Amino acid sequence: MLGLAGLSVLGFALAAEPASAGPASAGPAAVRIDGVVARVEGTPIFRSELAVRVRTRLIERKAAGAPTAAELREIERDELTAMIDDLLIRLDAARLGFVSTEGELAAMIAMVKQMYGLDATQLEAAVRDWGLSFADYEEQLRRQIVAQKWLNYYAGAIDMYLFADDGGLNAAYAAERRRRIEELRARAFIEVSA
Amino acid sequence: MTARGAGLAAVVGAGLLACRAQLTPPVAPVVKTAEVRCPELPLAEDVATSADTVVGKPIARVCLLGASLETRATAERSLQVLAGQAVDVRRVREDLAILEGLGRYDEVAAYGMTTERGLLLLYTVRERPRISGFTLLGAEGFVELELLKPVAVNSPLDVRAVHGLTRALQDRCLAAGHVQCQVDHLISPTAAGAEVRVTVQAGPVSRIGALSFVGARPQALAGLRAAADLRPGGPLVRARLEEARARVLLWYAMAGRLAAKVTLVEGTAAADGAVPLRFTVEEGRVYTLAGLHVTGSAAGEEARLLKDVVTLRVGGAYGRAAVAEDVARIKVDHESRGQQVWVTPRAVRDDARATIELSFEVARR
Repeated sequence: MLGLAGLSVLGFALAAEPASAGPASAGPAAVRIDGVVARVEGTPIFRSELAVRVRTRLIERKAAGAPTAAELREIERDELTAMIDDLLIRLDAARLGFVSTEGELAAMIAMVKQMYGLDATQLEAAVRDWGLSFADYEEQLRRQIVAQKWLNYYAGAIDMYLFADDGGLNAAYAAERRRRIEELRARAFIEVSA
Repeated sequence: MTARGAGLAAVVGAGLLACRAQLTPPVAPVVKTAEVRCPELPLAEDVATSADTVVGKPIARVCLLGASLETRATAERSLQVLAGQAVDVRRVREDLAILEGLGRYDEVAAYGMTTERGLLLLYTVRERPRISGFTLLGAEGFVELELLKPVAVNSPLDVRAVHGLTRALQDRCLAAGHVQCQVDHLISPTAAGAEVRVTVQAGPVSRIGALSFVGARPQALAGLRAAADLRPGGPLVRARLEEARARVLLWYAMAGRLAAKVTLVEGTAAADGAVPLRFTVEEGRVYTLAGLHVTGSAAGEEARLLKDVVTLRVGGAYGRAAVAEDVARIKVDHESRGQQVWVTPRAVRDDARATIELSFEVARR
């Protein structure tokens, strides 16, 4: 069988040279503002989106100090992998017809406020501290809602009543999520920038 | 060069842009200031400098580099960011997404270039070659016209579409019972673009033969056959076999046999392609409830809830559906008294004894 496992290097195509490759023309150097860092089934992941994720991770680990170059590369690799996984889920969830509703979003925001004891103003401030706009945050929550529906759809064989604690249940769901993602990865056409 | 003012594209004086201006009427203000020249590809990239250094700076001119005459006008009209505006990462990303969405480019990127006359915002693209020829071999019975539209001759080559076609053909071939089906594609550059060749090697058809369940109680057979849902005589599809095995396992779990083990082995194909399928089963014991508890905010009401509300009983078989039903009953009982609660079942499983100690953890919402 042809190996359809799709991980290819972005830019593999007949026009062999990327636009910016080759001997450079004279003049000042160009600073890259943005570009495509990966594509999943043709849907791009932009460098600027990856940068936001990396920035959030760096805020999370602020106490550990500035990362070394190797640590930063590892964080970038991890985050890109996670973004590819998320996109695989979103595309499969869309194929299955899963969407988030405004009511579900409102319930999710209410749950977050209750969980962390925040009012609306405090939540908005917290989101700003994370370097996100509230619209970005809402978009993240919408994606979480859809991803949860997607996982519930596939995790029907897991008996959620057979666990002594949330840890065991979460581990079972995480294992199922990983298994499903591996299946999606095996079929998807994924391009990653070299 | 002369800028014609807001609402009109500038008339540009040199090279390909001049040709475009003659061929297509200017409709969008892509270039506001005509005094700064766009560079040519390839660019020298400054990898040491962060994009943050250009974010927020005013743009002297927007340049689209790498597009052919054929695609340039449409691409330029699509761009949102204009000269005179400040560099905004989100809007630049939206422009890149628009360029991607045109389906004509394999690669898009945005750069900032600081010149003596101001900042240039550069969009670079790499155009897709045209499909100059397409050959499909061995796909009879698996293909229809709709499937081939994305790879029509003379359309821009999208390698993802070729991959998608290959995958679709393979799925159809496997679903027809060709368990050894192989689909390959080859893309070769030509002077006129790219030649695409897709080859299907279907191989023989396999069919589902007789089903057997070794190790199962006779009274379970009807339920097991229904759960497996494999029709003898139908095409043998390996992906569906694993799904069938999972359904059989779930059937046992729903009946309280939580330690059941199920394997599925394909036998040797007969001359007509029929493959006997043997499920080997270790049913295991039915798990029973060794204890039932109510904890959390309703702990004080445990005796009443277990007697009057919960239907499960100590010594009875564990059943997932019954637990779900009792969770709902506890919630309804609280709601009838004006209380909203979360109910979370917690189980301690003893595999040696095949028992479950089950607690309903109740928390006020």
